[in-house]
Amino acid sequence: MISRENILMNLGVPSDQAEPYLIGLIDELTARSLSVCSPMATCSVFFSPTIDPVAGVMAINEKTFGLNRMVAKAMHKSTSIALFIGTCGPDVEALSKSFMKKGEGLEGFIVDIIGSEIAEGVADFIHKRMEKLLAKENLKVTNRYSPGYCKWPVNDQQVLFELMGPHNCGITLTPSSLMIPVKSVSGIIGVGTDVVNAGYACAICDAEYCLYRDKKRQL
Amino acid sequence: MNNDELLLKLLECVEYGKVNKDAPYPPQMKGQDGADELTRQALAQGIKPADILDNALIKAMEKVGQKYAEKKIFVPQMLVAAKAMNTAMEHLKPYFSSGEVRKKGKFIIGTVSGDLHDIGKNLVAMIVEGAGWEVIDLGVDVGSQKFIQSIANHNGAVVGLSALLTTTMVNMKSIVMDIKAKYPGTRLIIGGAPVNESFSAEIGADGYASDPQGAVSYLNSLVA
Repeated sequence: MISRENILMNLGVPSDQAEPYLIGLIDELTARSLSVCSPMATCSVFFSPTIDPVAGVMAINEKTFGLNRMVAKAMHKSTSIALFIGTCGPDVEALSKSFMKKGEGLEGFIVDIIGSEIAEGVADFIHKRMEKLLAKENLKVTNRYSPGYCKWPVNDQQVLFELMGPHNCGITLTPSSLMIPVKSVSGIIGVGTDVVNAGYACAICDAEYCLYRDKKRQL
Repeated sequence: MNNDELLLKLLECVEYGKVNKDAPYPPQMKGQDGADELTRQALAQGIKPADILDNALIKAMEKVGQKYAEKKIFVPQMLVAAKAMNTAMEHLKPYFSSGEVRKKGKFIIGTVSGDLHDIGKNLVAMIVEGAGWEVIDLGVDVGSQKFIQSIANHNGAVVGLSALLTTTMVNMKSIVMDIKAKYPGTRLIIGGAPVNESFSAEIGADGYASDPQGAVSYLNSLVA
């Protein structure tokens, strides 16, 4: 689940120039992070959403999401919408902070990256699991989208958590709609017979300042 | 070792990130004294703290910065060098307090309001400190008033704003405006994954750093 290549990429180190010491440190910290993490996730499916791809909005159970047009367009043929929340738990973050506090910036940075990888892995797990289960019903899934990305305002996180009710994996939201623990993920996945999981989507997104923009193409 | 040899060895330790004798990195220096032991030895030998700082530590970090700019090393090597530098600096702390040696200036840094991400900010703080600057770290979720208060307490400090998210980078604009309204002469730089040079210009900041070394280069250009 944790890719050494991704960690090196996030450290800005070309994989063919990684020193053996760094590889060893990454492997050691990966094992340590995995031993303290407590990944969990939850998912709820809502039927008959109302989606307006022109206005870029979606309503579920009378709650409205201000998706932008790109995300609404990706969702608009969905007959149901899965909301998901996942986390790697608080302990990986705590481990990273403890390294930083001791002045061990490299170790702290690597553990922080591993925390992000675990959280992303949780989201991947939900996505793939849903895809596999729904395929048996001849249903397909869309890409997954999260508030705060692809120009979908992050404050819709509040709506998402409201709809999920107590099924929140213990994650809380700050007034600025960020999740605590920070290494958490949330989002939506469209479900239907006529939807597409298009994979890489940066080419059709105009979010000029997105931190994930073409990230995997940079090295 | 005479004084020159000792300073050269210390420079090498910081450049290659040899923190202390027990440190396993770098492998080619295994078992040798590191920045910790050599700084103590240099002080015991009577080398002036200012000479240790100028002729070993800062020179080492300049070499690190140069190699990073030339893509000969990457962030991990820069971080271990900063750790070695900061270890050596611990021994010089009393001399900073007494005024015998001086930092290059003050740098106030914080992650802007609404944003809780601190890893990038911490890395910048670590490298900037290692480059000889006094760093005042205000933490995360920092709004205009806290920055302004800190500027009032640290006259002439340069300010660094960090943000990780597209949704929080917009808060940089109001913070820059508020600081410039109160302290027009304050130099401000911004950094973080979603921002860039043109965004920096757009919001009226004085500079943009794409990485910790970029922040050091900007700061050093102000005191050159």
